[in-house]
Amino acid sequence: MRTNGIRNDALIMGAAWTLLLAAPHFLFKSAPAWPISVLSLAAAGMGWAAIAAYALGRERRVMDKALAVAGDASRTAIDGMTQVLTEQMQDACTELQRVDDLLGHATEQLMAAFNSVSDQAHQRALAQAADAAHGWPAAEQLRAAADRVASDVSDVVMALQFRDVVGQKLGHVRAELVALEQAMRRVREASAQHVQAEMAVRVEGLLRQWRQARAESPVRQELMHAGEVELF
Amino acid sequence: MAKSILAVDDSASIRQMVAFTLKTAGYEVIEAVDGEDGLAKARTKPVDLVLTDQNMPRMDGLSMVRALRRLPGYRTAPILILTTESGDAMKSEGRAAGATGWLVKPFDPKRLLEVVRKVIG
Repeated sequence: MRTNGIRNDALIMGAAWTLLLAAPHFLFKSAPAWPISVLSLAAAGMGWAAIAAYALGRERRVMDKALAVAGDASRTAIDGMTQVLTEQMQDACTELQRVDDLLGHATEQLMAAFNSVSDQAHQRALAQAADAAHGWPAAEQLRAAADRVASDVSDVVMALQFRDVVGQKLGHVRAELVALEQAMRRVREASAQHVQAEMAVRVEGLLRQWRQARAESPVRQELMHAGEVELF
Repeated sequence: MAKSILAVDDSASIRQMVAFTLKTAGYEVIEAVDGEDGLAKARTKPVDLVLTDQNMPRMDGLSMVRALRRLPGYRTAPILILTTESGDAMKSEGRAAGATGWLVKPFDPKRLLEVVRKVIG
């Protein structure tokens, strides 16, 4: 639109210049001598050339200004986007920390209950051993019951290890989010320092570094089944 | 006299579960919170078996294993790694560092006791 306006202005100026040069010929209604006609045409041509040069110069300044505005706008958009993503990642990290804290608290409570139950089971086992030593008839049944309790306790011991397994998974996810947040921050810094043409190269380089730094989570367990054992 | 086991893990819940399992079976258990603590305690009081996690702050399990293997009393002592990691690359690294065995968490208490009895009786 702006360039159309400049061209329209140029056309108007050219037309006015031409009319100005042609006016004396119409007013005096006489055919001018050929040198004057040639001079008039040359003046008209030079005038048009000057107007065209001026219009092109104005168009270029307008385009440069528009590009600069677009560059600022894209930097602002990148800045805004990375800021939002950074904030969201920080919130996600905070939430993961809360989950970790909740797990820790739940584990403490479970451990306290477990210690109490296991102490009671241990006391009963001692009492049963004493009964068995006396040859009391119910000792065998009580021993079988004690074996069942021992088996249940074994299952509980395995299940209570969830705190460690889940905690490591959460730690890995938090580390990934922090690495992504740092990559976003570097993109924002790059957008503030480099012109658009270099941005694509910088961002590609940062993404490559981020991909190379990513490590696979060491925790592959999906369920709390017993892990494998290997003696070397 | 009861055999003694050094249990090294930065997770309090794992140390508690390991200690409960081994003490119930009659073993003496010494706990350490990371590789550096484990190394210091191993130097102070020789143990019959070391059971260690891998991913710990300050000093990880494999670094502690390598350091223990350099100590005169631990050149051939059984050292088991108890970890969430199950990759072959890590296991090979553990074997090269001098570990005796590799157990993946969560451990089955019965299975753990079988392995411990196998290596130290």
